[in-house]
Amino acid sequence: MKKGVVSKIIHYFCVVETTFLISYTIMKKLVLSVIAVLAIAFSANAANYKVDNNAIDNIIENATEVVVLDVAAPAAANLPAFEQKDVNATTALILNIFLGWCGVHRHYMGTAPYMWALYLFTGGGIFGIVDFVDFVMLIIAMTDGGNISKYINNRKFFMWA
Amino acid sequence: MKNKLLLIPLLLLVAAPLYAQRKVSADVEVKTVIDGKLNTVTKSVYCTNNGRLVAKFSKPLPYYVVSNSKGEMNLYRPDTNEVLSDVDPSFSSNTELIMLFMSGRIDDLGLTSFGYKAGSATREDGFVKKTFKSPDTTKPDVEIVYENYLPIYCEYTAQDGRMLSKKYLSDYKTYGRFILPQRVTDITYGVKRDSSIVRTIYSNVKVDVDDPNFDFQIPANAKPMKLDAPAQ
Repeated sequence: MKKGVVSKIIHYFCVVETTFLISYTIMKKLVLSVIAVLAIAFSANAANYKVDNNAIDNIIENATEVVVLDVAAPAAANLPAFEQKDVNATTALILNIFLGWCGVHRHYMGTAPYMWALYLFTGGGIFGIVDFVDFVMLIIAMTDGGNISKYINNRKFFMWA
Repeated sequence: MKNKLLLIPLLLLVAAPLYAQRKVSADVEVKTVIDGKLNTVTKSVYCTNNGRLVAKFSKPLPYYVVSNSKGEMNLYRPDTNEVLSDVDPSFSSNTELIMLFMSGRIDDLGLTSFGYKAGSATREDGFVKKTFKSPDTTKPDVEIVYENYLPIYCEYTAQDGRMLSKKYLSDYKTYGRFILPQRVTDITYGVKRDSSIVRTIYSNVKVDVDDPNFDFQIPANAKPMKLDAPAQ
């Protein structure tokens, strides 16, 4: 009786193990297939964002070299003609000193429209700390030629981060 | 107030590394192919974090371009001792890619400083895409694709949906806290002419080194350049 029960248990575990192994193998293949498909899809999409350097090299090598003496057109980046916002570092600093707690200096330099609320509801930029770091950063920028371009139209709460 | 004063040295200490890269220089080779014709320009750029950019061209002609972030540009030809001065936003040193990376404006490639507004970011197939729109409808929409937080692709599309140009940034290399793509490829689609391909290779990048070119000054006795005179 006992021997029969034991053999049944062993048989049961063998079946379970076999089923598990089959399931595991199928799952493994399935997972690997999914990974392969995703990899193909990923590489296909990645190709849209990565240039074929060999093709570009061939085009450059096969082109006829000419000399263009166009000194009046310095090679700037191929960006369209943009207009820059006229923002003064001193004005930004003065606004920071007097109205920095509500982020007025940030709006003067250009930022997200809700920035004043973030400053106001965090007690003047997390109880004045952000406001104060802005102050220090503006001082540093002023002593360094007054270049605050990185803070202009900066939408981050921590404009210096 | 006392607490704030105590914080000053601490904050300056923390902020110091952010401003550590005060000077960056690099050799730049720009190859442009239009209609099967290749034009090569080589220059060395000297960027200072106050926005001053000195570009020393060696090919096709030896000349200097000194510009700042406000778009004030002076072009100087040492062989003729002539200078050409102009002010235009397109001459701003901020349009120089190395300047953008030097100042850490990687996330928008300087677009927001030109009035562009960032749209929502989406994640797709491991890439993050971000769109930028200008309030000025004559300016193209821009989409930047990031991989590992670095821009790898930039697409300019006209308001009518026409593709204007694509920019590929690759072969990123780190120099201390400063990171720069070594290779940038621009493909601009022409309406009446063939597309143009511009390949820019950055090499010999040096951070915080002393070089007299950083402080290059145009001689005071330089004559105004005559634009109608053909270049020699």
